[in-house]
Amino acid sequence: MFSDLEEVLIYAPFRNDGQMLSSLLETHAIQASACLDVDALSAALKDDRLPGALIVTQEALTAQVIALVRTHLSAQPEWSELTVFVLVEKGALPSTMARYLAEHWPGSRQVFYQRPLATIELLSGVQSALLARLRQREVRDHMALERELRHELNHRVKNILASVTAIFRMTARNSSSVEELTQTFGGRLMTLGSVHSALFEAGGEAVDIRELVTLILSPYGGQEGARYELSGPPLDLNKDAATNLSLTLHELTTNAIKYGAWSIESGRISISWKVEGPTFTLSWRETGGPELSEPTRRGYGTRYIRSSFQTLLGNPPEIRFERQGLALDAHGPRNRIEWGSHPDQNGAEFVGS
Amino acid sequence: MKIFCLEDNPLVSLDLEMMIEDAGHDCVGSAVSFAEASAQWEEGLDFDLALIDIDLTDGKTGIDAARWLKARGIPGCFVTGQTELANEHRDLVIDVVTKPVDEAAIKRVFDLVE
Repeated sequence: MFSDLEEVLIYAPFRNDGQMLSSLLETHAIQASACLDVDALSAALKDDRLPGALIVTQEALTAQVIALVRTHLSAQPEWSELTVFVLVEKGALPSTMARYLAEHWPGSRQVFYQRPLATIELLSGVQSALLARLRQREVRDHMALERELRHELNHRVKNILASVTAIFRMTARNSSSVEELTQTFGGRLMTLGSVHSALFEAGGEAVDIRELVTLILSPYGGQEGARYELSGPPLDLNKDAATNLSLTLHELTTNAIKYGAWSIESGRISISWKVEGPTFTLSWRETGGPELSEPTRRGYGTRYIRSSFQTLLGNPPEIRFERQGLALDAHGPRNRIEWGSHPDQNGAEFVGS
Repeated sequence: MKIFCLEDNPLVSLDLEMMIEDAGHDCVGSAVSFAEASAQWEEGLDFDLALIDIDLTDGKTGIDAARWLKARGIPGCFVTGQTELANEHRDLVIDVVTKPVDEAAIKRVFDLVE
């Protein structure tokens, strides 16, 4: 990991040049450090340290020093470019040196100042170099973020594929025809799509429970009030709970349509939920439907419902086949389903958004 | 054979349960986190094999779960999308199955233990 240095390194080992340059910069609130000899310079350019800029005097550029800087430059990360200020002697023509340095110092740009030094020039040059360094670090951070996001995306996509595979396989196990498979699988896949959209609209991480329940029921039951009733406080579900609950409610709904309250016009569904302290409770009541018999086949239907409430809330739900219709009660800790209080935000991402 | 599922995705979890049953075995328990699982395990739940997802609700604790089981001589198998991490810790388990799960691959793992 490269440590960010705002410091300007100075290698001007003759006379008092180093000290003078360092004082000049410090006076103008620029951190500077003068290396007194080659060893000090070598230590300062150690692999993980990236100076804000480097100032060298022409007379200090021995073959050894040039090689030292070159080594440092070669070890830089790809986003880094070092500005090297070369202070040349009065009257010197730096063009040959300039070409030589440009060739031998990849990953840097060289700026030549002729002595006697115009301090205002040096200062503005150094300030530009430091600003360039800041931009380089921003690029570095963006690149790191992009890598992280790509990784995360890959993870989420894999999870979605695992979920869809599971849904398909479970649907196939309990379908007695291709038509049935197509319809059932299609309905479940669309539910996944709807919840994904709802999450995305709401910022990606949470969705209100009432909005979710309405989303699942309205394609079959129309507007609230006619064939179904909802009652309960606002509650933001985290994305995993939202995904789980949406598929579960979808199952309950399709069961109601096939065998329960919504298999006849007059049947009604009532869904209510409560939050009391740390506990969340949900109830599903069907009324006005035909007389029910407990499904003998442990198909995906109720088995999935029991299993998913177990995962959602940590307890199995209570399901009763009353005379009026199916009745389900489930309860569990609200922090398992509520956004912001999920035990581990980096946990279950089985569909993700 | 008695099998435990450590998986936080409820769809994958149920699918695994069904595959276990189709193969003639029993799913004797499941959990969404290492914390939840170890609570059950410490109470003395008895099983012959654990299917372990690496990413659980309490982090990448599937690794810790595998280690816990290995120390007690209970075979585990990673069932995960985290292939790199699974291979890094390959010594902790008897096999690695990648997600999405291939039913035949899981059945081969059952055969390994029987």
